[in-house]
Amino acid sequence: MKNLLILLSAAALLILSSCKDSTPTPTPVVVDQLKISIQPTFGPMNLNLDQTYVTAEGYNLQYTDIRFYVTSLSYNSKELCQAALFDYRENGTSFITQPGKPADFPSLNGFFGVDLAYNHDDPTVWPTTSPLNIIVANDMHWDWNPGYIFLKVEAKVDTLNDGVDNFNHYVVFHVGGDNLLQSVELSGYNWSQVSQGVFQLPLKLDMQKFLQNGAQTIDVKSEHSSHSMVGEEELSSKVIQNLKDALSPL
Amino acid sequence: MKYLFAIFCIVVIFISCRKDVIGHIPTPYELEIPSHFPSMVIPENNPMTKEGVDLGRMLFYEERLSGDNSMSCASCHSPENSFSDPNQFSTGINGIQGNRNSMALINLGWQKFFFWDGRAKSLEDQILEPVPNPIEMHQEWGDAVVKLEQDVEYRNMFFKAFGEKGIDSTKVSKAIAQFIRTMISGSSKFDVMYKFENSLPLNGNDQAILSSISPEEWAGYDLFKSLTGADCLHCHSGILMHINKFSNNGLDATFTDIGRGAITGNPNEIGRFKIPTLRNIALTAPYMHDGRFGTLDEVIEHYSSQLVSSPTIDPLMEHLSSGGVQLDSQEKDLLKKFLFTLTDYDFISNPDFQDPNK
Ligand code: HEC
Ligand code: HEC
Repeated sequence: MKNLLILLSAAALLILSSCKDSTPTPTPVVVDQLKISIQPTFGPMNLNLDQTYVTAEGYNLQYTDIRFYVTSLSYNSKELCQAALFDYRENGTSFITQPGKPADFPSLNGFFGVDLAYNHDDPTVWPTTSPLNIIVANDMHWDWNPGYIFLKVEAKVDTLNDGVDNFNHYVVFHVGGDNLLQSVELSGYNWSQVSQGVFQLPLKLDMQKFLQNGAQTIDVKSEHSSHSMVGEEELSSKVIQNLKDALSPL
Repeated sequence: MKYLFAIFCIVVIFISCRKDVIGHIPTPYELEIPSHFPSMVIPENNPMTKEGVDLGRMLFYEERLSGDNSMSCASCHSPENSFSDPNQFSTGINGIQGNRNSMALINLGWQKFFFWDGRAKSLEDQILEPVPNPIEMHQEWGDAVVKLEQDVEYRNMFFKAFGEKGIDSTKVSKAIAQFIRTMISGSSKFDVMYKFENSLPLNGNDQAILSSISPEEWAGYDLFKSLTGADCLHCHSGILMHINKFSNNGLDATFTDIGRGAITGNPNEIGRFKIPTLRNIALTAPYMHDGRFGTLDEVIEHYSSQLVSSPTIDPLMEHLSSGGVQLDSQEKDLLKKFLFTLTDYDFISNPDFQDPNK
């Protein structure tokens, strides 16, 4: 009887102690956050989608979609971000948020478009949060071949300067394909601290420069459609170069 | 002595593991996701469980969810039509018809918005609608819950699925959502074509299907994807056969049903509707949000020559100025042959998706 009682008490103790919440609270590791944002502009003005801007040719133009990929963004061999998708309509100006230290990334190199190393991979295998995952990429992917659509710029234009609004001329640029992949470099910036442990690099994307890149201009009346197909090489390459050149530290 | 021992044990277990004893821990459910599909994101507040899926399936076929016990979800989402309704407009319990065609329930676990106008942001939210809707099942949730609570089998099933007593509309919608997430279609001829063209491994069954695919079906697939052919790829692409977007595909010049525009109030979205999947499309006639086309031939004719302009038309309807992609009769036939490869017979006859009481 006594033995039984001892046994029971021991058992009780065991059961009781086994059921208590035993996850130790981890000591929080403080990691700095690096954020890159992109503000689209039209010359000196901040740009909004669906709002009218006047081109050098005098057309009224409304951008309806601005999206692009940047991949393998690194300094030397240290990678800040494997893949990022800028999507002005869905995500506004936010672009990249990654753990990292400002001192590790005094300048950045990468690709404007999707790195050859990933462009033809199975788009379903990426983690569900990766911009390369087909559900996130959504319509930024054609097919395994030619792969991802590196950029989409879409707009509606009123080409007649007659005082009557008629935005019935559509601009559709969908550019991709390994041959059109561009390297991109960002330098001459400073990470600015926005709060405890959070550092920001604000960039701008000048959509006026996109149309008017020095001598390399796009006249949307005649140059309004590219799907990077055979025969569209010249316009496709101008589109991706101009968009890349439109991106710079704010 | 014996009693003392028993009481002792009960007390010890009770005070030590209280919450575990009162509840029931449901069995996790492993979704069978086809190898060529992305993984599915399951909401944290509604994990998939075996008991939840079984309950959801019962509820999907439960006529007591409607005011006069005559109509279940399956009345307008029937298995043989790939969980859609062969009628242009479904008729609710009071004989009232809506103005939209029922939607096929396929691979919804990968979608981000529901209904033709995307007004529901999750399956759980979506499922709360049809029961009280006066033109559908027309029953207050409170009344539906009372009916279910009168049934001891349901009381037990809810207890097992959610680990606690009680039934409410949230639990009903969670269970049905779990069931709908299991409704995965990925074994059509098209799936074999997709795997083959991308050099993904084919199993023995796939190999057999592959050898049965005709040159016309392959030609139809090429046409479907080609930007200078039928140009369907822009909107109905990838393994899910649609992109997540609202679009106006040139059906009308003016709109009686303004679709997405009514939800957002944005004039640029008037006449835009959810781009539906084309999986099992041969089984889900009639077509479009208002079921205006009875056959795939009519749909193909629409895209070929009958596009209508409006201020919100999708700029990707790039052949608008010539009325459409202008397919000749042979091309129309090839395209239709390809659309038939999207039928997944295993999906519609899968015993796990049928009425559990039959
Ligand atoms: C009276 C016919 C009817 C009944 C009953 C009915 N539905 Fe539907 N269902 C429809 C119609 C019509 C639509 C499209 C409505 C719209 O877009 O406004 C729809 C849309 C849906 C969708 C959206 C699919 C998508 O791709 O966005 C889901 C999910 C759904 N129903 C599930 C259910 C469930 C679950 C039940 C039972 C609780 C149910 N339905 C009962 C007719 C019905
Ligand atoms: C610009 C985007 C776009 C393109 C390109 C496009 N579709 Fe669609 N498709 C839609 C939208 C949006 C709907 C739903 C429209 C509605 O109901 O108002 C739809 C509906 C359909 C439907 C009816 C589905 C159902 O469940 O009712 C079929 C079939 C279809 N499309 C086939 C095709 C084919 C074949 C092609 C190529 C010839 C094509 N689509 C090209 C956007 C597109």
